[in-house]
Amino acid sequence: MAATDQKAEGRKSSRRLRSLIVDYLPAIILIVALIVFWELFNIIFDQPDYILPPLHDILYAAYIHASDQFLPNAWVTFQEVIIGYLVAVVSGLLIGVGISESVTLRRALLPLVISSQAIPILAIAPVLIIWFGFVMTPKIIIVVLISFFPIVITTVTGLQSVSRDMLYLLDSLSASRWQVLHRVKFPAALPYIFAGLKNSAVISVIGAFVGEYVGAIEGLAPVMILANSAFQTDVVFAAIFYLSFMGIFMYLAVTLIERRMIRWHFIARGSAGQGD
Amino acid sequence: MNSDSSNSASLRATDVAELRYVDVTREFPSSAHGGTMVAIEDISFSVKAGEFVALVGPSGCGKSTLLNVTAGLMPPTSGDILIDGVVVEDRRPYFGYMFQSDLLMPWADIRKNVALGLEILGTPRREARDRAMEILREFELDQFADKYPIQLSGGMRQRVAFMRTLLCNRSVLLLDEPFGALDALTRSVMQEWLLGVWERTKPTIILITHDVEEAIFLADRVLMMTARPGRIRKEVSVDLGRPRDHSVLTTREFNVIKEEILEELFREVARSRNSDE
Repeated sequence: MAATDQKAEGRKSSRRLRSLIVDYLPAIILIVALIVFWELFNIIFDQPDYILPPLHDILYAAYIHASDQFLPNAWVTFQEVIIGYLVAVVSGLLIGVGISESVTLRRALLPLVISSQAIPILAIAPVLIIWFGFVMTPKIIIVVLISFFPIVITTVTGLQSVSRDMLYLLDSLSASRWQVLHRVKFPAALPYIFAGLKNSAVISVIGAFVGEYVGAIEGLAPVMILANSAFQTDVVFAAIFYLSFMGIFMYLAVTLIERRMIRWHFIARGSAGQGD
Repeated sequence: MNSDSSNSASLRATDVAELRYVDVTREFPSSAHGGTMVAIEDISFSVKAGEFVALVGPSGCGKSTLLNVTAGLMPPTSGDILIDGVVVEDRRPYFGYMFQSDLLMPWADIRKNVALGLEILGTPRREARDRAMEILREFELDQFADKYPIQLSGGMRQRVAFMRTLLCNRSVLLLDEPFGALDALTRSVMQEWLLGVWERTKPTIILITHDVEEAIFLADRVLMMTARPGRIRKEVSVDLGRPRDHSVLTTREFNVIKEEILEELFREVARSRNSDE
């Protein structure tokens, strides 16, 4: 009995693996094609290597300079990203709740929040550098500025997603505003909020990079600027790879938290097997 | 703790012996004409404890407004609703409200969903959930206690929503087309189920429906409403005896009542259509 179960289990998992490969086949083909094209680009178009360094040169640069350049500088950039992101999450949630739940706060905050997004970050970045100098603070501020907005918007949308009848039901139970918010509105908003959190997680990396680009001594951007002026395009691309990985890491980390926090959101419809 | 919830009728903290509507009118500002839209007008009737009253009427007759006003979610523009002859400041504690959609929280399992009302009313979480479990067991829904709403069918979800309403132990239940979103077969199963629950717990029920058969099958009295503004046009008492099951649907007495109501209803629909044109 146990043996047949195991066999069935084994067959099931191999079938799952096969279906996984089939599902991702388009992505795999596309990536392989891109890699081949990249590697052959300079040969086909007869260009020098510094125009588009071959992939293996980039990976080699990423590896050989990892301990002396990339990892220490990526660590600096990552700190800016993670501190800025956490500040953005807290402030985005608070501002979102404020805008959604209070007319006064909505009138006061919404114009400011929107105009903060209309300001080109590149315009204020140099001013922030003048104010704070070549330290982490201006980068963190830019990360916050660039990544709090999606959190605000998705928080507001999520909190407003509760149906009118549900609010009537809660009112009929004489629920307090706090009860409505924390028992129903906030849990209902979580799937929306996580969409914003994922969006912000990725763009926070861009924020840190922009901040560094305008003026920094440490971080991935200074590495890139230096390499670019020396025509070390393989190092430039390697730095871009590190940045991308940071973005992917941020995204996956938030996705992982999402899976734990709103597990209910991923339950399949009708999976209990019931009848009337 | 209340372990014998089939006696819950006698344990209700806020029992209502009689509910009396006196010329209840509710208007809304209508932006179209800068004037007012009268949703319900001069509604007068009364309901006695343990009675099952159904309100039928064409869509847009202000049935939901009537329930919202009844439950104390919005004040009447004029008129009043007396509870045992008295005007009550906050009517909300007397009423349990149930809607067409189940309004179950998708993030909470069935037990927690059923406990929601009690918890909001201030019962400690543990006790609320224990009592939710008890009522689920009593009505043989306990096998779903750990499931999430999305895993249940529409009919099962409405049963759970009804358990949540029942557990709050309010003396009058307001049901706003509770089976409106269900398919015909599930609906008739649910109607018999509701009658069974009502006969065991005997709450006062005011049911809104546009389904005439449903109204007659369930209720002691059927009130017919007109469209825009909603007024009570006719009252028919249903003397079909209880307990009822679906065999009553094909009896002559049932059809006499049905004919009487339908005739009036069709006249009303025609009248409101003419006034629209």
